[in-house]
Amino acid sequence: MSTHRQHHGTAIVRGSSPYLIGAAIGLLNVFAFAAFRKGIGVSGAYESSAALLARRVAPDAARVNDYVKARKEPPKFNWESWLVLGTILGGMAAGRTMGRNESLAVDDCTVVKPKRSPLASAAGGAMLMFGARMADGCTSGHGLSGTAQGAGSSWLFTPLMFVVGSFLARLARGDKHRDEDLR
Amino acid sequence: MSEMNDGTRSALGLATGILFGALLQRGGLTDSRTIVGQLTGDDARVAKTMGTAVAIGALGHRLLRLRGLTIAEPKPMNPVGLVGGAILFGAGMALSGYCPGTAAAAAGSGRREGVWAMAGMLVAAAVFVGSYPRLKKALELGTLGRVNLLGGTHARATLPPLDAMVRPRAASHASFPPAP
Repeated sequence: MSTHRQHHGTAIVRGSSPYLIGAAIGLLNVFAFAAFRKGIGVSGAYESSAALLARRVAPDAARVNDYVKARKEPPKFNWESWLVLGTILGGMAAGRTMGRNESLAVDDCTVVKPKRSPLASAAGGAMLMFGARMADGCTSGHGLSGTAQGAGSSWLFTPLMFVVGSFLARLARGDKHRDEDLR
Repeated sequence: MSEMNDGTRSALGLATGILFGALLQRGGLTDSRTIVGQLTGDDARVAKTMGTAVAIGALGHRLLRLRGLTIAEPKPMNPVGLVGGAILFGAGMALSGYCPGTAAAAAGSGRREGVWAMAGMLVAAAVFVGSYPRLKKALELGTLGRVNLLGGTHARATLPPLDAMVRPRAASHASFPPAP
C-alpha cells in the first residue's frame, strides 16, 4: 500500500491487516450473538426481501402464499434486513472516507486484469444465492456464525463450497493460461 | 422469541451492518479478485480474515453461552440442501468473486460488479421463493436435525437479552405484543 495516504483514517484501518479485520469482524459477531442471540447472516434477508417484494407486486399469487405456508412464518423486514442495508451503507462510507484512492487504484489495475463482465457477476450472484438458500446460509451465516457455534451443517457447507470454488476457479485460470500459451 | 424491542433490534442490526460493510471494504473483500485470488491460491486474505473471525467468534460465543447470554442454534443438518447448496455457492463465488455480504458492501462502495451481483442474487432469491414449496421436501431429505459438533444441549438463554437489561421498559412492552 502506498504511503501518501497515511493521513487518511487510523493506522488500524489503513493498514488493513487481514488479521485485524478478521478480529474486528469476530468481535462484531460476538456482539451479534449477545444482542440478537444469533450471529451475522446475510443471505436470509435477500430471501425475505424477495418474498416481501413478490407479495407487494402480486399479493394474490398462489405461489407466494404457498411459500409462506411452507416456511411457516410470513417474511418480515427484520434486523437482518437492516443489517444488509447497513452493509451497503458501511461499504459506501468506507469507500468514500478512506478507500477512494485505493479503490480507484484497484480499479485502474483492471487494465491488467480484466473486470468480470456484468453477465458473469449477475449469473454468479444468482447461482450462489440459490445455493445459499438451499443450504440456509452463506459465507456469513454458515462460514462465520455457524462455524463459531460448532454447527455440523456449517462445517459441512463451508469447506465444501471453498473446495468446489477452488476447483472451478483453478480450472478457469488453467484455461486462460492455455489460451495465453497458444497466442 | 421477540423479547427485544423491534426498533432497538433494527437499529442495532443497522449499526452492526454498517460496521460489517466498512470492515469488508477495508479488508479488500469488496474487490471480486480477492475472493477469486483465495480460490486460485494466489491471495490468502480471505482465509486469514475468516480464520481470525471464526476463532474469536467461537471463543466469544462459548463465553457468552456459558454465562447464558446467548444460545447455540445450529442450522439443521440437511445433507441434500447443504451439499447441493455448497456446490452452487462455490461455483457462483468462483464466477462472480462475491458472496452475499461482500457484494452488498461492494455495491455500496460504488463497484458496478457488486451491483450486478446483487441484482442476480435478488432474482435468484425470488426464484427460490417461488420454487421453495416444491423444493422443501427434497432439500430436507434425510435430515439429521440440529447437529452441534461441540456436543452438549442447546442451552437456552437464562438471562434477559442485552436490550432488556439496557432498556427494561421497552423490552417488556415488546415481550407482550398485541395479538395481530
